[in-house]
Amino acid sequence: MAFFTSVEHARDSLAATGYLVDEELATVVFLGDALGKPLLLEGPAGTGKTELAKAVAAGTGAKLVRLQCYEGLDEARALYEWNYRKQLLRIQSAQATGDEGHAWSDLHDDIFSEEFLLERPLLAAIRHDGPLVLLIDETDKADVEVEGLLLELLSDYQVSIPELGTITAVQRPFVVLTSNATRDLSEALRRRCLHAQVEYPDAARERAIVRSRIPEVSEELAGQIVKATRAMRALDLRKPPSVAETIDWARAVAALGHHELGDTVARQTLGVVLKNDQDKAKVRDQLHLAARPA
Amino acid sequence: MKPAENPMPQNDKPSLSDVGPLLVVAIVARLRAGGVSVSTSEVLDALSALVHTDLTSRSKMRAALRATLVKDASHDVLFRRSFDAVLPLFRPRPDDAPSASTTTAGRADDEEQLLDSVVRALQADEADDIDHALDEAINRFAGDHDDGRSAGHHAQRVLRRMNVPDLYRRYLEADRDSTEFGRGVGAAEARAAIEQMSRRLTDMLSGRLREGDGVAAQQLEDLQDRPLLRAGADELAAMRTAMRPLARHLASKLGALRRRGGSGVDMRRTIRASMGYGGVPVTPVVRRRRPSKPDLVILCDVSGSTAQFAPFTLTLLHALHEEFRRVRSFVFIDGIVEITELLESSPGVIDAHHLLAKRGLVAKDGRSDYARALTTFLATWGSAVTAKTTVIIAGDARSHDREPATSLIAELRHRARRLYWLNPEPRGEWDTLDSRATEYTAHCTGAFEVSTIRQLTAAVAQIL
Repeated sequence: MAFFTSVEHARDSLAATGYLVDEELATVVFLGDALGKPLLLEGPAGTGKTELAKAVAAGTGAKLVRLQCYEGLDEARALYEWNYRKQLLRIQSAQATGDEGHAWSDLHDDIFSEEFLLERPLLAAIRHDGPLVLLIDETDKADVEVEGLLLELLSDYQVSIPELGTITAVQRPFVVLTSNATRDLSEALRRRCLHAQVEYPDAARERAIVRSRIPEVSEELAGQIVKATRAMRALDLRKPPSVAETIDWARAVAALGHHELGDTVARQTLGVVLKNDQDKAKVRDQLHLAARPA
Repeated sequence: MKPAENPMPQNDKPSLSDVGPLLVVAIVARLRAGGVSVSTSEVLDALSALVHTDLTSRSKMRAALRATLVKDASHDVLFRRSFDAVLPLFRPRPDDAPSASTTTAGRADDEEQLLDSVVRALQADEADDIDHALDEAINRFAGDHDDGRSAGHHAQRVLRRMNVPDLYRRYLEADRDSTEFGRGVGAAEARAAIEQMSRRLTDMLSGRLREGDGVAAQQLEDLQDRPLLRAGADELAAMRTAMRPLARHLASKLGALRRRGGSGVDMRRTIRASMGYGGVPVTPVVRRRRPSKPDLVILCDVSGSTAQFAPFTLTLLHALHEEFRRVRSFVFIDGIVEITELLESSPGVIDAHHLLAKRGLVAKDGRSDYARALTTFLATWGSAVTAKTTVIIAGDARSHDREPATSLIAELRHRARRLYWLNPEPRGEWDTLDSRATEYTAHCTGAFEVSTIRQLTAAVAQIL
């Protein structure tokens, strides 16, 4: 596969898509590519784990296939499924044409062919010919059984379909698994992956992210906004502001035509970063943003 | 052993292949001694990662080894410590060279500089710089490490001598903001930074203290058997981590047990479903056994004596919520409050002080009163307990010489399907002093001693 030639190359091609990584994460991305190992990204919601996979795809021009995990996800939804209804129509039409000449075996071969196969994300990723990023999002939401399926897939990059035989990946995809740690993933799965803990970016990097996404924001305003969101994250809120929300906030303040984040502006736009009443009350209280009588 | 301190040029393959394994094995040995399981395949991964890594950069090497060897963020501290021990940070500071003067004035200047460098590092939020500055602070301020005190004690001493309020002031001074909001933000940021610094300081000190001996390993090994009521704060944190996989394991085991055994094809419904396809049974309908999913009501004593134990019980039982139709949790001292919503909104982060902050928990003097709490429970939420409900009471059954709750417990048993008692005290202490354990548990379907995590999981597995 080899998307990247060095850690710097990985960092730069991600930066070109507006995704700025620190050296540690760049190293992990580069190694995942160089060793052909899946990446397991853990960390709080809103730190850009999913975005990383998208940025790798965008930065390298690879196709992105996404498997969104949820409770109750099964093989039929993740891997492949036979299209029963279409198969049934095929059988009925064979009967209707009275084509008795066709032996059952022909028909059998026919209805278990490519045409009747419903490809789901994992099979699509295996069969795709060309550079590909496979994103398995919120792996912790899926049931333990799905983990078993992933284990098999991620060690050999092949799938067995009884009627069609074993399908092996043409090219090892670059695999990214994300998890919010609502439950612990199995040791076996962890062992197979390269692990990275994705935290909120540090202040300098978050400023750079804001500036690169919204060029019209001044260095000073970006600094103030990043500082304020970081202070909010330190407050033990129910839903701490994500990086995307920092960007949204900067965009909102800039769109209102303000050049700095004063008391009034902050109060007006608080809803852009915080989506929860209790959080807002806490921030108003702790960061001295109480609405005073005029 | 620090062979790679001055790494060979990358094209020098023979020396790399000699040094790499030694380096990785030394780090892995430390991780394993600390209780982190590192498999051989991960060691091999680490080596192949090093082949692709620029060995002249310490941070890249660290990132490569971190990604391949450590698969859980809670082991980060141990990894950093192991890495630093095998490959110590070396940084020449030419501008610090003249500061070796021994005069008192010079020393005061040094301290001044040191505190400034700590604050600068905190403001820049550069982990390596912070470590370096703290390292110097420890060298200067921490006395003798080997006096048998805890890392927390040493950290407090260093922090005292570093004069935290002064650090705080310096931090804020660097940028004065004119607006009220800006000042609030600055203060919150400074608080967070100082907090982060003291955490890191404690980590570094405990690393120094444990260096060499097997304390850490021992601690992790029998964590499951450590008495919950006597655990210190850092042990509690470790136990919480140890508990998560247990809860998951239990949940999947129970889930599998429940799912097992569909009992064949339901012919009637299969034929009914086949009508849509002209009588072809496209989707066979399997008869499903409907497992009984009981309601669960948990009543947890969180008075002083048992507050540490409550979060564990609640976390474990909430991790199993899928196995129940509905889980309602209550905590009580002499008042009682429902905390179901709190648990659902923040899974896995329940802390004793979260629980204790609830209003209504203390009705009178803040000592547990089973009779009063249960009377309130039956009056307010009595309807939650039906013939389908399993009730679990977790507490030490100590009456503090108040009126016993025996009749109320009998009443609960009468209403509920089953009633269990979890007692965090060792069985030997039941019925001593004001404990009414036997009297209460006589009315229960079962009673368990749950003084350790292992006993707790075993008890819960048995109840379900």
